[in-house]
Amino acid sequence: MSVIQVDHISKSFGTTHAVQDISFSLHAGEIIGLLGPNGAGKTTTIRMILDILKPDKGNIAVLGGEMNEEKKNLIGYLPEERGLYQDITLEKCLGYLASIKGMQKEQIGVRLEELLQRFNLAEYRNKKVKALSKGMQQKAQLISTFIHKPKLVIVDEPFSALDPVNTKVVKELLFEERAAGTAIMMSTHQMNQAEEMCERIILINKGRILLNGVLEEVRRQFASNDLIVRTSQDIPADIPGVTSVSKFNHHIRLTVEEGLDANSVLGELIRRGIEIEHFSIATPTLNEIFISAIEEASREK
Amino acid sequence: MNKTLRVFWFEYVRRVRTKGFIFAVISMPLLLVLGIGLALVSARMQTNPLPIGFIDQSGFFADAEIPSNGTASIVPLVDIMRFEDMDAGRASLENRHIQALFIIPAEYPEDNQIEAIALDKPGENAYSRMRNFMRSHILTSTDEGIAQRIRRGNDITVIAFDGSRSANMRDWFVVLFPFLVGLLFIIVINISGGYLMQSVVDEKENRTMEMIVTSVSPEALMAGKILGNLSVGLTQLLIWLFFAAAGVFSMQFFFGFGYAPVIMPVHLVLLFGIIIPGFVLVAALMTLVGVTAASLREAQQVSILFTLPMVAPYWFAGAVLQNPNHPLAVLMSMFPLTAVITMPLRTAITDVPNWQIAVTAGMMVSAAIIALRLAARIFRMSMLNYGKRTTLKSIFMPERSGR
Repeated sequence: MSVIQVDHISKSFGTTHAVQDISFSLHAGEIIGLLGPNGAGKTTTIRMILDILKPDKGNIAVLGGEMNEEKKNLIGYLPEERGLYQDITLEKCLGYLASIKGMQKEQIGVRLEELLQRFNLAEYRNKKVKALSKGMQQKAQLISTFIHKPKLVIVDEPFSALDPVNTKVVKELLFEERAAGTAIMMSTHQMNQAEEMCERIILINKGRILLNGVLEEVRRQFASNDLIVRTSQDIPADIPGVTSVSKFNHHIRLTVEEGLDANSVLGELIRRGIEIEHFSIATPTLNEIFISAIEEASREK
Repeated sequence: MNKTLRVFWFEYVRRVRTKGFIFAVISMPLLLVLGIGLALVSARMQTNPLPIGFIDQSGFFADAEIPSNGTASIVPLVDIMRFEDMDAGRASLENRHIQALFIIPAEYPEDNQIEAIALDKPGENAYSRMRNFMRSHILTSTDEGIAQRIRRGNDITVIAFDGSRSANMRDWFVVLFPFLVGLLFIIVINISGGYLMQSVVDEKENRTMEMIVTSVSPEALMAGKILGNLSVGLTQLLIWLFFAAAGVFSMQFFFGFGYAPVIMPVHLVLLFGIIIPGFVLVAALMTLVGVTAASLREAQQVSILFTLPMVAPYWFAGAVLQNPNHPLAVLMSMFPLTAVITMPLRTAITDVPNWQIAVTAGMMVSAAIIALRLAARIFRMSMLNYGKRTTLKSIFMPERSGR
């Protein structure tokens, strides 16, 4: 069963078409990346899924049907615009946010303790939120997203303001939740994070979906004929089938003719006595796919 | 506990536990007690515990009974000593056995003049004690009923210019009721409205709103906020009333003065038909201002548009009391923002026709419901407009707002 099923939704603000005919689904135990440049329509899409905004057209089913008050208790949301109550203690703030997710006092106490320990915030529980650093507040907000063990989590830039150690903690938490069957939608500009965490990506630009699919399939779709080689020696330019040789970041990129077998190039390099440290078929990074797809869409327009 | 109640409790506890609230609640009665205490100390300092003496040269007080010290009072009573001749009186004064010597001359029955001799300025209690002693003796020759009426003073009945209504000045609660209601209304709505507006603006400014509305519906959130912040104002009011009641009780118990208020049926009609809907109306308007404004300062400036009409009836209070059925008074008593103060004012001084009270109550309830619905709608539209104000165009052309 889809946790989120979005069918042909559109949304306009005056003459601005924020979202146009978008459809996708998200299943339990899956992490999906919602990617796109600023103003692409990601936040509007998320807000429609969360019933903050109503779509002008199309349907959205969340957890098997229309959104209602009970379902809100099963959703965790980390918005892009972060915010916590500044003038109360961390414990009171998180306790309140958990209580309006339908948790009882006893449940809150146990779960809050567990998450505060995990995020190294236990000693700050009685500090006012405004006394915490930006990173700590970010962690606190993540706690409020997960405290009620939601079935659907939507996180917008979950790693911003986090140091590498805490980024790792958050990743582990997201993976754990996924393993437990939670459906996770992650909106981010950090392509390396999306690449590492998402099985599927949805790339939106100007309110329309440009790409929607399993990450590996998308990569294949954007794959080039390039080979990546790492060696301490120079590679001659006269290797049969190789059209260009360029160096980048301690690696050498070989652009080859279409249909050429990579093994033949590898064999030729070994035959010529070049010591190979690394040899791979170049797969585009998500960042490259992102830029390429956006540029292609702009050209088409 | 449903979510409205959770929001209510959070808003309530969050406010009443602040130092500012506790200080505001305690400071008022403390200042009052301090003021009364200072007045009592000042009164005590102006008294002198030494007895007073008198010489009756007129013979008018020859058989006057010298009163005992009587019961305890804020200002202590002093002994009165009779002297038969001037030398004895002066000697007592010089030896500081008495603080003042009053001489009642032979001509007193004709000219009502007496003299006082003292080494230092006598205490205020010396004069009042002598005055009361003389008045009591003069009244002994008068019929007891008449004497009591003279001691009690006049019963004044205030009658409306059009003769439609009258009120005895001793029923002070009836006369003071509209003023008290108005004053309390202004206090509570200022406290609650301020908190309410701040609460809404805060959530927009600190960006918690987006997360909150994914947990609670905008309607439940708004209802919880209104209930919570109104309760803060009411709590403050109840605590003050408790102190006031304790003060009145203490006055009655220790000093024997003070009156018990009288609640009339019309007061209940005013409470449920006009004052409570009035609270809801203003609370909804404050929410509306809070959610549409870009900042707290802007919200406070705009809220004057509602608070000014609320206090406007005080500017016209004299005219309303003089002619409570003047068209302006009737109009103000029926207009929702001015009705809360004007209608109780009119009911205190005239018999307001039942239809007018019914129409006003109907209008108040309707206005409160409309304001709540409008506030809920605009709340939903504007809650995520961080740092922006909501324009009238976007309110009345919702398709452009996108919500």
